[in-house]
Amino acid sequence: MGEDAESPKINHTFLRDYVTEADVISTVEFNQTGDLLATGDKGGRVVIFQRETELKGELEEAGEVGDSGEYNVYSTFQSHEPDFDYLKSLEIEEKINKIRWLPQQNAAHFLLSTNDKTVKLWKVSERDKRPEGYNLKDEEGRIKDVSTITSLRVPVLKPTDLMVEVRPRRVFANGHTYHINSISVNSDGETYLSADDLRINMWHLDITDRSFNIVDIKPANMEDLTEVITAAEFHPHHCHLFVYSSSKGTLRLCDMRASALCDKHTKLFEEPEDPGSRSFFSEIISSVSDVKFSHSGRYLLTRDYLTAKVWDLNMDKGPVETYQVHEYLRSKLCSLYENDCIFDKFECVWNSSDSVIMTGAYNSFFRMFDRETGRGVTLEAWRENSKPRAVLRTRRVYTGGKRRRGDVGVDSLDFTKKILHMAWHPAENIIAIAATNNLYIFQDRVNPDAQTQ
Amino acid sequence: DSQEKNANPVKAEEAKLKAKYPGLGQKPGGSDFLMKRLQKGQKYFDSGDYNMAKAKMKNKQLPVAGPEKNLVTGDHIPTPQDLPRTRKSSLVTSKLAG
Repeated sequence: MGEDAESPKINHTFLRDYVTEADVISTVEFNQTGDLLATGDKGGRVVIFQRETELKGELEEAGEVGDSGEYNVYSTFQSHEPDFDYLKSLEIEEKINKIRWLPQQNAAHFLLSTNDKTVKLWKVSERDKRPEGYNLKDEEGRIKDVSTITSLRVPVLKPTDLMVEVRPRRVFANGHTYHINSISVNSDGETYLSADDLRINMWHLDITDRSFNIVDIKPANMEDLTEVITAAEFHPHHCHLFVYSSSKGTLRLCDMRASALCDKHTKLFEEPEDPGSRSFFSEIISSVSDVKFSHSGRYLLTRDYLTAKVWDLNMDKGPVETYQVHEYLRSKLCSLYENDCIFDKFECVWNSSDSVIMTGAYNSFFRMFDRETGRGVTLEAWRENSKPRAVLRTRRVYTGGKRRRGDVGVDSLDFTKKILHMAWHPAENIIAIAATNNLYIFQDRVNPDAQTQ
Repeated sequence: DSQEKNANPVKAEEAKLKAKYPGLGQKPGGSDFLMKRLQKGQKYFDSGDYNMAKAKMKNKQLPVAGPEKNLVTGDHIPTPQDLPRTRKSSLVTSKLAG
């Protein structure tokens, strides 16, 4: 595109803001073993971290390999680019909405990454050997003069510095009219689903030019639109079951064996609303921002604006557990509506034994709830207040009663410091928390392995 | 009854909001938000308008886009700054990888 002589000079402030903006982490995900951790950001880039395996002297002697290592950068690549749909006059952000790893089948690792419109499958492989001793080429790769070759040799593989290569293997494009909010890999290892505001599609990992539409909630007349799909996930064990959540706070469990188009749910999970508490804000704060199956497949965890709820798949009348994340915000809904914070989408996660759930809040705070005791704790992801390897202090928001030292008042909360994205290691008590453009990894040294209490 | 206690602060917040924005939609939290959500990313540009404006106002300042530049109004003429353009991808490596 040629430069327009009248176009304005580049505004440096804009460039600086853009670079910072691009660093905002938009998704975090461990792979199935927890050895790899991937982050996606607003600039469309993916950074993969790998856990170091410690081989300390004493451990080696004892014949053990310690795995309490740190996560270091393994690879980084540009997954998505900004795009523009000229036909619809639609700007397509390169922001990575979700990353999901495929179960590992060979030496390479595969992950799915998606922006608003396009899902991509990436292959991450290592190369630590290279062939040496070609007959027809010299060491620099130049073709040799054949007349100088007097003998034949077999090229050998020599070790070389580790190189991590990332290549796009599939691009699943043009499947969505609306904005993709979720992707989920099926337990069958062959298919995955992608969900946008109004539709859910099912894809085969090897086929990019076709997908099956399995849910379509678009009304015939858009004036009748009352709810949108906010998140979707496949059941961890049953390949025919998936769940999707809505902006009205409902969950729908669908069975693909029942029919090809799962517009009719198999089960509808909805908490009855107290008519007395209905307000302008009711529907907005009931919108489910995230839904996750427990590892057992028996429960669902949802997050709405003020609470996290655990639902039993066998009980559709309401949640079995409700956890108040930041109830003190109920009296601030007006200003939270004005500054758009009421629309923030928080994620929620299970620990590996499904005994603890975790979700984010404001002021760099995040909350963990022990399902056994029902008690919650507030922690902080803010490096100014802690040193590396220091023990995390619990924090408290002052909501009345006796004020303790270190309590933070509700009006002092920084609403720009949102903890929206997070992940819990599949087997150990290691968590990854995205705090705007910083990634925090916390490890539980006291109880490193998840135990069912 | 705790439910009542909870309802009161919310009703108070609702009253505050309605006082500030009396024209706020009848439908509580309804279609307006959803429509806005579905239309995220929508940009409007009319090359005819743009070229006419360029030709007419060669010497004058082009009207600069206001804060609501995503909304199309009859008077709004997009300027080159507002043109939806395929932005250059991040040339800088993520700071997480640095």
